[in-house]
Amino acid sequence: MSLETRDRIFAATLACIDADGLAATSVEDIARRAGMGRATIYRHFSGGREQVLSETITWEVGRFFAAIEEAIADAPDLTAKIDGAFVAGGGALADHALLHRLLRTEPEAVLSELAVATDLVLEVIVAYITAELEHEVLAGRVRAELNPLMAADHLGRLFLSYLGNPGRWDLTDGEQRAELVRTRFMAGILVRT
Amino acid sequence: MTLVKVLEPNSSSAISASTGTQSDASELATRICQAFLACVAGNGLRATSIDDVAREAGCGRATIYRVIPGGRTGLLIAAVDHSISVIVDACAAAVDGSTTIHEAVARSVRAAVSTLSDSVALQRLLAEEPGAILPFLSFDGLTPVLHRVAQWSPMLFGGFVTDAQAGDAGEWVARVVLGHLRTPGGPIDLTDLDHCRRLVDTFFIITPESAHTNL
Repeated sequence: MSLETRDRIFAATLACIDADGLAATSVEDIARRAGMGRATIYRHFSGGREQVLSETITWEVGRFFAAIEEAIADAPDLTAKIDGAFVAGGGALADHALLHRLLRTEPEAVLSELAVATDLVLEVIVAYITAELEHEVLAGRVRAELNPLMAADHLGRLFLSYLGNPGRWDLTDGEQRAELVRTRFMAGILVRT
Repeated sequence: MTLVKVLEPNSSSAISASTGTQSDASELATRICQAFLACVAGNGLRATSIDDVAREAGCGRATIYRVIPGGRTGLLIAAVDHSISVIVDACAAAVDGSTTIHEAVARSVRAAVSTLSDSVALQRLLAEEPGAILPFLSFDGLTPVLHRVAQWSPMLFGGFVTDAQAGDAGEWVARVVLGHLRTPGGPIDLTDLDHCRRLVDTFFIITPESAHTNL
């Protein structure tokens, strides 16, 4: 299956959702916008409309987190990476007009799809943090007795929790963000001096 | 700052369950919530009608509309709040006898997870109709839950720390528990008290009181 074709279909589906919403988007709409026939859509997505919509949401969530990963690529350590991830992720979430609109107009549908996509993303985030923690252990910044898998699982879930709803923390405020990362994420795992 | 504006199922006006001296009205509201959850557990939300809930609760439809306005949505909001109260009660029982804040937090995590795991209605919703419950647990929809947790936290943890620190502890418990709600797998088994203790001992930090003054 051509990746290029799949991406074209995803982009067209996203444009349809943006224009008409999730419930009103049909395979015909997607095909027309992608400039291909309905049969082509069904050839790539045998599950039809439901599969295209679901995989498009996952594709968009994947792009969202890939942009975060790119933004923190040069951050020197895990503390800076988590801080940078909140900056990039918080900004992208605040600016995501389509998500805001769907959460207002079709919350049940979009949250169901997002939950599935986020479960997949959690695995990727945990794998990323595990690798970072192993690097931090070697660098002597993180306690050697730490279980990286357990720590990464916890930190990944906590990151998603605060990104979705920061509670009393203002993630646009650098001092508050630094305090959040220090006390809720890093205090338990850094080498204690 | 909250990042995404979503549903606002806070409606504290619509949420009235209270664990103080319960009036007849709140006892009736509790009975209706329990009946609603039993119907959802048995038939799913979509197939649950107000008539079903009335039959299960042993009261009339009009009583349900009077005690918990808003139809099925109103019942769902009230049931979420009722469930929080049930979880807090379970946490309070589990915390009893703890000698440190860390032990109290670990026992609370386990009690909350066990209560949620045992809720047939919630597990059925998560599996079959996640869209019905996720607006209460996602983005801005989580805020009322966090507020309710903050209200109860001093009761659970106030014997060990200040009320503000107890609020932090409650929020920590809520985030950990809800973070595992949809995807309970992974290396941390929150139904195992020893796992909870390891998690708490590693990651739960009491924030100094001074840190609260600027926030």
